[in-house]
Amino acid sequence: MVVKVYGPIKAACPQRVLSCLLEKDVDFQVVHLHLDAGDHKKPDFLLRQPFGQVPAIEDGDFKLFESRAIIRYYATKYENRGPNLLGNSLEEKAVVDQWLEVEAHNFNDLVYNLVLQLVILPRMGKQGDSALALTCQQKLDKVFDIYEQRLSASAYLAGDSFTLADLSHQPGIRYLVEDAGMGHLVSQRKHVNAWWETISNRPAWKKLMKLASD
Amino acid sequence: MELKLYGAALSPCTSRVMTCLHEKEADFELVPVDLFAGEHKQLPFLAKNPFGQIPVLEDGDLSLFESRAISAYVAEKFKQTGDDLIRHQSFKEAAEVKVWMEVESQHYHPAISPIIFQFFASPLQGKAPDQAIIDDNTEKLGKVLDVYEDKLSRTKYLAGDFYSLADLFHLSFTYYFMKTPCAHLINDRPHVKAWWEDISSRPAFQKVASAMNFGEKGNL
Repeated sequence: MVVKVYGPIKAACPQRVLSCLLEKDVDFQVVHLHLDAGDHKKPDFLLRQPFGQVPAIEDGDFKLFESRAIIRYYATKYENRGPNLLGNSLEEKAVVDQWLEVEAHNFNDLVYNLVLQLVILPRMGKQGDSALALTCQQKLDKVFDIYEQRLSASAYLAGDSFTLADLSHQPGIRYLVEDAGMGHLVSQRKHVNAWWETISNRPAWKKLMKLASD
Repeated sequence: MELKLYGAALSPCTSRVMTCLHEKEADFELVPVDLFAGEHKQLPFLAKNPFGQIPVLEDGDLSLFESRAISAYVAEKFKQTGDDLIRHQSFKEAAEVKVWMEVESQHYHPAISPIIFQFFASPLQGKAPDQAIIDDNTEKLGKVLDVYEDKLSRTKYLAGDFYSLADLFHLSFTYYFMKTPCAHLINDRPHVKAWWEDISSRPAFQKVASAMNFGEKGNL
């Protein structure tokens, strides 16, 4: 049974899910949505995701939305297949969860707003707010300082293995480095840079990048 | 060994964790962190949470921050006690709980938190609440609550007909929200209102709510 993933393959939140599915070798089909045509705000999609956002998944009869809930589900469902993305003990799982929360609450909004102002709005022919972009960048600098400190103590955010906590950062950092001209935030920090090099060279992520460029 | 929770009784994030600890009948010690003295932004606290935020939970050698991760850990560790907040025996119910935990995190919290900040924190900085920020966020929160109203007309609680961590996560910030002039956003929606009255009357939350008196006279 193929998992249907609703959303554009180039969008960050669907990529979070797709990266996880590829890590776990789960077959999927991307059902493309045209966000600029407002597909995600139309009545039939709102039945899948009442907040009108991507992604949503359909796995047989089972449906879910919210990318971080979806990755937690699949990482648990296929816990014994492929890399262990959750951690082993209850304590390890809690630390993975902690850094997933950090991504959601301390990292994501800053990256989202920065990318919105510097990349998305200009692509739509609108003016980005450069003052807001600067504020986000300054705050993100401080967050990356904390990541640098953390990653000097362990190879990955939650410990010595790649987990959902690292995976959740892949799409956002890609946007920063490749689209927003903010690569220096990563490259100027030795441990963050090494971490990004490692996680962005994982076969699953590279496969996703290839699929997204086709 | 007893759990130690570093935080403040009037803080909604600390209260989120304490509500969960009470639901699970887990003994803990609340170690006060002096927010007004900026204790959370300095060492030694920064060594516990480099983001300089409360709460932090210490359980033997394990130290955790982020209130939702802490609560999920407590709910898992003590899953055999009290109500099953994470539906650990049903894989699909557990996934539904995770969806609505994310909804709280990604949709509800970003809209309600600035409103709380304007009414409770701005006055401390000598400023009047910024009506533009309040209006912007009440509009966003209204749309989120429309989705909740629809969902709660079909299931008793957010993730299904069972109380879960997803509902619990809403308690502490909503408690403060109900003290603002914007409380009608909840009260005007019958299913949301009934849900709020149900979840806020749970004994575990009542234990915590009485200490959530930020901004009340004589308390600063």
